[in-house]
Amino acid sequence: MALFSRGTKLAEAQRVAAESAEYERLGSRALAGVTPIADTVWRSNVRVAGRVKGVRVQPWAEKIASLEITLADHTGGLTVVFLGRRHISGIHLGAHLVVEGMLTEVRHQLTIINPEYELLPAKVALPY
Amino acid sequence: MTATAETPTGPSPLPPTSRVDIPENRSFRLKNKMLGQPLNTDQLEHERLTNTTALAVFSSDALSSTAYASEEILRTLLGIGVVGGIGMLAFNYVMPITIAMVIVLVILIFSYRQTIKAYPSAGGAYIVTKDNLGLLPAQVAGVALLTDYILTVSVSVSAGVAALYSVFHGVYPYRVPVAVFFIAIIAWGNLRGVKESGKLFAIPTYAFLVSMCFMIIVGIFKSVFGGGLHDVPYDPVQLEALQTTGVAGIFLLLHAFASGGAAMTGVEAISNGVPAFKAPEWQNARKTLMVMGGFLGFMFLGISWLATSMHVVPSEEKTVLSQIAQGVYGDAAIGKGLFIFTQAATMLILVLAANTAFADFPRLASFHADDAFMPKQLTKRGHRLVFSNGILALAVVAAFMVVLLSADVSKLIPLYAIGVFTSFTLSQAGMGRRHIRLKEQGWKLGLFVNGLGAVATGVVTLVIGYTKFMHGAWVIVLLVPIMVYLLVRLNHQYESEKEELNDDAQQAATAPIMRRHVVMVLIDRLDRTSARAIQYARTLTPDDLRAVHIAIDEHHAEELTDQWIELPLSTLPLEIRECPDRRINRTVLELCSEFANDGQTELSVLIPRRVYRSAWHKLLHDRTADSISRTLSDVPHVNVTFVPYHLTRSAKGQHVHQVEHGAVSGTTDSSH
Repeated sequence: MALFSRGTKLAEAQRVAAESAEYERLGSRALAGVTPIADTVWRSNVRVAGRVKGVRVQPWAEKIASLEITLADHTGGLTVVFLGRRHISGIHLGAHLVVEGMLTEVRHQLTIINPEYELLPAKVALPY
Repeated sequence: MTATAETPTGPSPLPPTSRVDIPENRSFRLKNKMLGQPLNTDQLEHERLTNTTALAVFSSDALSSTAYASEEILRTLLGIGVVGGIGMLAFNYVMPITIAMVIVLVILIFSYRQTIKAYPSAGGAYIVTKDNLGLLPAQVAGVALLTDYILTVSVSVSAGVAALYSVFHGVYPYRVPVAVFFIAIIAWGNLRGVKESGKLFAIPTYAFLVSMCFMIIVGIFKSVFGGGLHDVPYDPVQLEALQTTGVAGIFLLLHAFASGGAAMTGVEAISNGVPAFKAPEWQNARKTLMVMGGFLGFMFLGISWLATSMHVVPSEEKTVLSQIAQGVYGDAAIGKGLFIFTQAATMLILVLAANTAFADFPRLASFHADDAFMPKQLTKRGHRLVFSNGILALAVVAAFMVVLLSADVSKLIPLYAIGVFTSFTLSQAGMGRRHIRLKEQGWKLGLFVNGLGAVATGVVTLVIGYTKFMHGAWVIVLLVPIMVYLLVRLNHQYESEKEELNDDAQQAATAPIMRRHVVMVLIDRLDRTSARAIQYARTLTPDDLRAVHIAIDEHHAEELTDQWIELPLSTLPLEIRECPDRRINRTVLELCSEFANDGQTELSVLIPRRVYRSAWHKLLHDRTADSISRTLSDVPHVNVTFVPYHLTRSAKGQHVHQVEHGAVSGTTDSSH
C-alpha cells in the first residue's frame, strides 16, 4: 500500500513538474519582449502583458461597435480598443493577455487600437 | 403630471409657501410636539425688567445659596463627613466665619458696582477679562465659570431635593432619580424657551425671601423676648461622637470659611444681565445689586445666628434649614404650616437657581464659541431661539455629576465655588487694569475698590483651593487647565482652518476651471433606481459620460452587459470593473483616482439612492451608497451626487407617486 501510494505521488509530482515546465516555456515565448506598462511611451510600438481590470461596451445604437478593456500590470494600466467587435471569447474580467500595437491617445488616455493579442493561461505568472 | 407641465400658456406663479407640500421630518415633528411651534428669528427680543422682577430673576442663584451655606460651614466645623472637626466648640466659630464671608460679600458688591457702570452692555467675567487681560485669561475665567454653572445646577437641584426629603422622608432613597428628573424638567423648560419671564421667577423668589426673613425675625424675637426657642431633637449617638474631638486649628477655620464661599456664587448674575434693566440700566442694576447684597447678607447672618443659638446639628436626612424652621415654628398646626411653606419655598428657589445657570451657561458658552474657542454648534440658536446645544450639554453634564456623587450636597460643595471665585478674581483684576488704562474720572477710587476685590477674592480662591484640595477641589484645579488647553488647541484648529478657507477666496473662485468633466453613473442593476440616475446623467453635458458597474458576481455582470447592449442609448457606454476582493468602495476609489489624478479633470460620480419612508426600511438595506460617498469624499475633485428614487408606500395603496420625473423633494400629486 505504502509502495503504491508513493508511486502515485511520484507520478503526480512528475506530472505537475512537466506541466509547470510547459507553462514556463509557453510563458517565456509569449512574454518575450514585454515591457512594464509604466515604461511605455506615447506613439511607440509596445508589447505589454497584463490583467483585464475593466471592460467597456457601447450599446447597439452607437454606429461603431467596440470593445474597450483596461489592461493593467502592477506598474500601471492602459486602454485597449477592439473596433468592430462587441465580444471576444476569452477576453473577460480577470483574463491575462499580451498585446502588441501602436500607443495612441483617446480621450486623454493611452490607448492601443486593434492590437495583436495573445491570451495567456491564468497559470502563467505576469512578469511585472 | 401637473397642469403647468402641459399647458402651453406659459409659467404660473410660485405656489404659496404654506401650500408647498414637503413633509416635515420626524425630528421636527417631535420638536414641535415637545417644544411648541418654532420661533422666528425676529421674535428674539429683550424683555426689560423692572427692578423688582429683576431682583427675582437675577438673585435666585445667590439668595438660594443661603439655604445650604451655613449648613456647610457647620458640617465642616462639626466634622461631619470630614476629618478633624471640633465637636460642639464649632458653634463658637460659625458667626465669626459668617461675618468674614459677609465682609467678602460687601467688597464684592462694591466691586461689581464698578463693573456694572463700566460694562452696561452685558459684562460677564468673560467679556471683562477678555477686554482687559486678553483672550487666554478670559478662557480661564470662562471655563472656571462654566464648571461652576454646571455645579450650580447639580448643587441647587440636590439641595432642592434635600429640602423635599426633609419634609417627606420617603423621598430620600429616590433622591438621585428625583434630582435627575428635576434637571430634565428644567432643561425641557429652557428648550421651550422659558424667557426670563418675571412672574415665573418672582413668586418663588419672593416667597423664599419672605419666609426666610419671617423665620429669622420670629426666631430672634422668640429668643430675646419669648421663652426661648424650641429644642431641636438631637441624635444622641451622633452628639456624643461629636463632643470628643479637639481644638480649632487655623486650617479647619479656613476650610469652614471656604465651605461658606458657596454663598457668594451668583453674585455676578446681575452684572451679566445689565441690558435687561429699564433705562437708566446701569443705575437700576446697581440699586438692585445693593438690595440683593443686603438681603443676602441679612439672611446669611440670620441663619447662621439661629443655627448657632439653637445648636443645630446637620444630619443625613434633615437639612439645617429645615431643623431651624421646625425649631422656630414649633409643632403646633400653624407652626407646621409655616414649616412646610418654608420648605416648599426653599425647594422652589433652589430649582430656580438651577434655572439661572441654564440661562447663563449657554450664553457664556456661545461667547466662547463666537471667539472660536468652543465648538461652533454652541452659537446656534435652536427651535425656540435658545442655545439648545448649550442647554443640552449643561443638562447632561450636571445630571452626570448628580448621579456620580449621588445628589449629596456636601460631596458636591468641595468642587463648588472655586470656579466662581477664580472668575471673580480675574474679572476684578481686569477692572483694575481698565482703571489704570483709561483713567476715567474717579479712577483711583475705582482702582482701590476693584483692587481690594481682586485681592480679597484671590485670597479666597487660594483658601478654597488649598483647604478643599483633598476633598475634591483637585478635580477642578486639574480640570480647568486641561479644559483651557483643549480650548486653545481647538482655537488654533479653527483659526488655521479659517485662514486656509479665506485665503484668496476671490481668486480661487475665478481661477480657470478644469479642462475636462467626466461623469460616472454607478449602476448595480438595470432597474428604476438606476434609470432615474441615467436620466439625470443625460441632462448633463460632460466631456465623458459613462456608466460603471463593479463586478462582484461575474454572471450578473454579463447579464447586465447583455441588457446594456440592447439599450437604445447611443452615448452611454457601460464599464465593468473587476473587483476580485469584493471591496466596492476601494475599487470605486481606484477608478476615480485614475481620472482625477491628472489634475485636469473634474469628476462627478452619480450614485442612485433609494429613499425610504421609514427607518424600518433603512434597516433592511445596507447603506452602500452612503458608504461609497464617504470614501470618495477623501479625493479632491471627485464630486458625489446622490440621485434619489422615492419608494412609494404602495403596500397601503395610497400616495403612489409618479417618480420618473419627480424632483428631489418627492412632490406628491394630488390628482391621484
